[in-house]
Amino acid sequence: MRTDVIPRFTEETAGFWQGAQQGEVRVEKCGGCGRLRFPPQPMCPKCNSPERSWEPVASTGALYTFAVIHGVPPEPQLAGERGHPFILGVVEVDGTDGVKMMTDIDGEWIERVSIGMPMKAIFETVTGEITLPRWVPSEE
Amino acid sequence: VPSAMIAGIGNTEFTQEDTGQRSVDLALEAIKLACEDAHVAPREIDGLIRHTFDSSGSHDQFVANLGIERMRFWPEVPQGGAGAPMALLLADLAIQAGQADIVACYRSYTPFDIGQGARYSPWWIFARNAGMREFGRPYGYGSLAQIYALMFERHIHEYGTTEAQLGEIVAACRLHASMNPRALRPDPITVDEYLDRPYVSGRFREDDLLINPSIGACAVIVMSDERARDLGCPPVHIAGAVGGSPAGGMPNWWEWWSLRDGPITQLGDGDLARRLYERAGITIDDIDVAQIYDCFSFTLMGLIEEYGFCGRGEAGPFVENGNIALGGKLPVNTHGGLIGEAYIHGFNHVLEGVRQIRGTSSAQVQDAQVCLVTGAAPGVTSGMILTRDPTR
Repeated sequence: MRTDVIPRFTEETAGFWQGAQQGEVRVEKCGGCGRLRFPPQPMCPKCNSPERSWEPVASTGALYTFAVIHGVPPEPQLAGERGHPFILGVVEVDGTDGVKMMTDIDGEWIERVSIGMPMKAIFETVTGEITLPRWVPSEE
Repeated sequence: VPSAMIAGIGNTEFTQEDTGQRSVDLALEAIKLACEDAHVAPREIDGLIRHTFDSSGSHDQFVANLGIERMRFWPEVPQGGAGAPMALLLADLAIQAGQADIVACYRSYTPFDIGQGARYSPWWIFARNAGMREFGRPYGYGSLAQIYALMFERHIHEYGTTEAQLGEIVAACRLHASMNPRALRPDPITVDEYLDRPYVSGRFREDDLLINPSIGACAVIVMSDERARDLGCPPVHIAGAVGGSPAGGMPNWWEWWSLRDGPITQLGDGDLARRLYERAGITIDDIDVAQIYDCFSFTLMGLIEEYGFCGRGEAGPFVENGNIALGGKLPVNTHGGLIGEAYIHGFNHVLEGVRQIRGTSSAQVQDAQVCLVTGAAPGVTSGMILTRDPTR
């Protein structure tokens, strides 16, 4: 596996990866108004509070949009190593008022993938330090 | 208040061959040609607005090489494709305020600017050193095309838009490119031929994507109406130019647009467009021709809705039946656009807008009086209206 595409801990992102190690999907929560957001950013655009924390959310959601990726991207990536073509998906997380996350979906779903299909998070161990949340169709 | 005209345009040859051309060298050539077109000497330039994405030279290098004797105004407009009309807005303001008399604006594009320089920008999802990309890259989120492919799939879902309708945009741009000797994709393509091409990213074919690599530079010279008239320059007025940004969603950040909690099929330019038409003193029916940002075919489709040429979700039917090709209701990208001529971050759209108002385009709209030029979307961006007659 290419080490240059394995996620790294940074000050801004560590809480997300720590959550994944514990089997949790986490998103950023504003310390001022409580709104959930993802990916993280330094300030809430609604109340301008810089206070923030990582909040566990549901491990279920629905596919919001997707793209079947046929071409080989210019740089290596974990998803690409699982084989081409694959599906790049965006999942809307249940109970979050519209917070969304990226995922990749196995190419075997290309004929069946559709917007709105229910999804669930699974947690893949990539290295001893990194566990990667992935969303997969929950109706096999 | 003196209003401003685009008095001169210049561009290098566009090429795909990377022979190590330097961004500054290309810019110098384009600015020199624009000066010749405007009947001024490069040393007379007293304002220089660099339109950039990352780093492509310094103002010092232009003073040193062009022999500029008195540089009075020297800002930089970043934001890549979103920034071309903003550069013209700054030029217009500088002339109105008496801060400069002869203003050059340019965009020079080489693979270094975006492919290599951008790796060091932390606000760029594909930057090697930014933690943000880790929320996309492990899942295969790794190209600009994917941002728009995810939007287009949702547009299909919400509005019943079809791939053939996207193909109409490609066919129109390529028809115009086939008439343009500068174009890097000079072969026309029919919608049926388009549909036979293999997918690359989502529903996109290669033909839907900006031309990569593209290498070249574009420049304009802006001065007061009065001075441009005295020099015998054909009238191309900056009737209005405005900036804008999307509002209301999170994240409001174009690289993560598909993760937004608002509708991702809307590019967020509606407010900009309304203010632009008002400032230019025109209505949408006055627009004869439009140069609309088309880093991907769907970008153009979305912008047709944002700028109000049809209702929300109706851009698919709007572009059918040659409606946006020469001879149609709203000819767009008469140079071929970023998917037909070259990807010079939309500064080539500015030059084509000038040609249309002058009546010198290779795909000329008969008696074009009013031309819209848009910047990229979604995100912080800009747009402008060029007219033959002064409107203020």
